[in-house]
Amino acid sequence: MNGTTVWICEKWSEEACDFARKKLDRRGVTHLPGAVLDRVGLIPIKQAISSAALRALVGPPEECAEIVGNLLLNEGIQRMMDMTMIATVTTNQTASNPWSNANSYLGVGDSNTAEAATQTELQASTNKFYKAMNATYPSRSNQTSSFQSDFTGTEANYAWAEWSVAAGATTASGAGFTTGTTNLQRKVAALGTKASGTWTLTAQVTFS
Amino acid sequence: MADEYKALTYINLPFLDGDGRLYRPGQTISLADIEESVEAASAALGPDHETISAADQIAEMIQYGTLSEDMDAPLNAAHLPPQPGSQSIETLIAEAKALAADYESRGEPVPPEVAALAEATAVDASDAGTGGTT
Repeated sequence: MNGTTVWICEKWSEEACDFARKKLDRRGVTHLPGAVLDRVGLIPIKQAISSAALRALVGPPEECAEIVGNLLLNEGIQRMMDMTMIATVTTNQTASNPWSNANSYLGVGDSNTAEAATQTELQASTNKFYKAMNATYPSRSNQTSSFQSDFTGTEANYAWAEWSVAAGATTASGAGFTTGTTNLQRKVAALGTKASGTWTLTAQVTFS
Repeated sequence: MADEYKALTYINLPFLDGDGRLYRPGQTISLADIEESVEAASAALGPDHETISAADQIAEMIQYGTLSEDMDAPLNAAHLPPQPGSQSIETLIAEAKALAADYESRGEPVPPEVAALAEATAVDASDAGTGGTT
């Protein structure tokens, strides 16, 4: 997350608004779409002139200020997480979260290809495996969501070089899948080579 | 191979500096850094594991628009902030709803194009990005 926000403030003077009003008036336009309280509706041009109308009739703003930066607030981060990634649905959360217990998967592969934000999958050609969540996962504590899966017996028996959290998986293979959909992230590192037994992977994703 | 490349998206070269070295869109990545990352991967994953080479990795990242030899190449569109006031699917639908309501209040038929947009309630914005495999 780490939201990098660009705040852009465009300023049109009252003279510019009057200019647009007169132009619209000459065309017989009395109302334009705009924000009315908490909805979009038609508002009289005498009451307000929207930025879309000003842009079309007057042109660029007379002044434009641009500020970069902000700090994401914990309450907003937590709401975004609750709306998208949590197993137990409580107040203000949706039952069909993309990263719900039923929809989340941890994927493990053996590719050391560099991580790139445009990637949409683990990068291994054949050695990759997505496993469903353990019970009660994903969970959230403050700004950290935890995802956990058990890779048992013959599952993912190769070098663990990359892993990911996915919001779905396709192409069944044993008790898991080989293709992940809508991957949240991808990490490349060396976790060792699994040959047998059960390895439990927990991903603790912290947003700030 | 070129000596330097331009990152067109966020790229993290694994194993460098411990947890990897992050390059932001527009930053320059040297061939030496990519080669060092691959060497470190080979050492960490062991001799029995076949790591992807620097050349193959670069070719793959160029193919999928992650990296470019052209230092003037545009960044991946996903990292370009939109202009204020630019149309979005949501604003088009909202305007269509307002227009449709206006037609109905005047007792006029809503044009089918406007009605279709006004009635749109769900938009599938599936990611058009491409991942690629080794």
